Amino acid sequence: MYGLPIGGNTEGFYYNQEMFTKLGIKVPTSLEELEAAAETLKKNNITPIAMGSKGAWVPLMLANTLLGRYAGPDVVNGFTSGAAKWNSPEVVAAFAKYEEWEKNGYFTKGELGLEYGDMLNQLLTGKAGMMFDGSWRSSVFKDVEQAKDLTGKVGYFSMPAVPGGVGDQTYVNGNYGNGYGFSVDLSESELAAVKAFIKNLYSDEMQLRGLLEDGVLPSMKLSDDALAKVEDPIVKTVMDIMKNAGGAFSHFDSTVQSDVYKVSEEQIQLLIAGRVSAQEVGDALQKVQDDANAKQ
Amino acid sequence: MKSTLRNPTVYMLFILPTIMLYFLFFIYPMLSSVYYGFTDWNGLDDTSFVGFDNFVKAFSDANFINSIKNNIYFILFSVFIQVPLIIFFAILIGGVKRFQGLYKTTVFMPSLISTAVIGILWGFIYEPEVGLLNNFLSLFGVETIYWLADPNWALLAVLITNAWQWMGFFIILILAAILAIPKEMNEAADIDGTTGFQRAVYITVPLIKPIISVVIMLSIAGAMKVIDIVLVMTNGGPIGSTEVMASYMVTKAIRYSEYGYGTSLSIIIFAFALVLTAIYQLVFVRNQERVEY
Repeated sequence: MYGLPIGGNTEGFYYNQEMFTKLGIKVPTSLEELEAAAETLKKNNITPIAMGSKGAWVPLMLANTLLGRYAGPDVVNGFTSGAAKWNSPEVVAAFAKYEEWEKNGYFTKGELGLEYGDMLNQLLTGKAGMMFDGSWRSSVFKDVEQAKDLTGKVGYFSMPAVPGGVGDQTYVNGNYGNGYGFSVDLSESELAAVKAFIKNLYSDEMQLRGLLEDGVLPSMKLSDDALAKVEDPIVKTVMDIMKNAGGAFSHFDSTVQSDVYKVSEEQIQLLIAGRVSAQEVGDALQKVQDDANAKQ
Repeated sequence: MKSTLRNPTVYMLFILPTIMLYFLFFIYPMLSSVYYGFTDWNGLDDTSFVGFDNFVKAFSDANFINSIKNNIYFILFSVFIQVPLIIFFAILIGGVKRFQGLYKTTVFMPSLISTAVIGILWGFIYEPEVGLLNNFLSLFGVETIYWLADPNWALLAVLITNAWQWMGFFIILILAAILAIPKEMNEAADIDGTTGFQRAVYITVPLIKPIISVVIMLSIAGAMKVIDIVLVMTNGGPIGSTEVMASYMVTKAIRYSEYGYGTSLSIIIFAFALVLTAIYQLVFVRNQERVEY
């Protein structure tokens, strides 16, 4: 069987441009600036980062990006082989930052009872200044029906470099999750159809349509002509960030065993509730990782 | 015709379709789920027999133990808080002279509403910032409580909602028993100069004991298999604080595709419910005297 991704996505911070201008916050380019922005928002009684943690995958997006910054872009590929350890100081540093932001009150209060959809509402109603979400959400902000007053007034930036972080700090979280599978065992006419399908789908035209209409990042390099047709400011920003990035690291949910991922869902919520420390999260994950690796 | 009706085979033929359906949709799934409880079936791959592994795993699974604990809270809450309140309200409604029908309908209403609707309705009431409950509490200076998001409050919030949903049904059951008590008894007590409280404690409650016992048993059974309200309101969260056995089973079997393990959890739930109601029957119901007026 062969597989081809139809498109991809990356994750970063969406922010309320009007609010940032009003409060004199400039788009953060370093971790200190990001934290200063969060403090300013908090002082003005605005939730710095909208979050809906009822589904654990939502906070795990941010946790995974911190992981890529603090422990390096390669770390997500090393857990199953034992090359990387969840309880190593670099990985724990990522969870410790998450814990610190949690304790500083940077996230929505009562986030454990809020759905993924709720965090968008917090940003759109001006209750929160920023939101960490995937590039797939960008189309919302050009739709007057959904974004209302905030239409076209939302910007995007990726997670800034962190001091002491391992590896290239320009890497972005990039996932190519959805796609098509093709059987190897095909008759001649079937093979011709599959080839035609691939040729059609993986063309400048079709990939650009996905990008323009749904904000799905192309799974192949587009020509400059095609890229010039992108008008949506958020998609443009995302494409610029991708272009200047050293590369992309995937989400650990696609690299680790499902048993490990399940425990990560439990642990991130325990961390949010303040029931465990970053070190305990790392230890718990390494324990189940060891078990899962031993089974293979 | 006469001889046909005497022929037992004819009767057999008439009930055969029903029996077949009963076997197909009840007996067979039940037996096959017992079988799957002893396997590591994940819905896709080859299935192998793992003996009692799933059951051993269940009782060393901290999350499952936690969900058993939450079921026990459900039982304790319904037996020691719900049932006394049910009796109290039933006696109250039994005593009113005007608009009794109105009260009866009103308390019965919640048990007619779908659980999904109730979950969403109470979700609005518990909403931390604009919800009814926090608005009311803020009049007394209580700080914002994140009812469904705070692990310390979520279970209580679900318990209250569940009680609200089912109390009306049980109130009507008990009310029927109260209204069946002959008027003469209360009249006689009235002439002897008893207070309303004395009549309730010494006449009404002893006379409706058998129905109270049924209500307690139904409450225990209901608390053992509670799931829908949890799924709608919190889905077991935050951090498992409202997870009950049945919702944990659904999470394991459906969400994580551990069908073998999930099935063994369902067998454990069934066994628990059976044992608890059996104990209750043996200890309380058997020792009860028959009530005769």
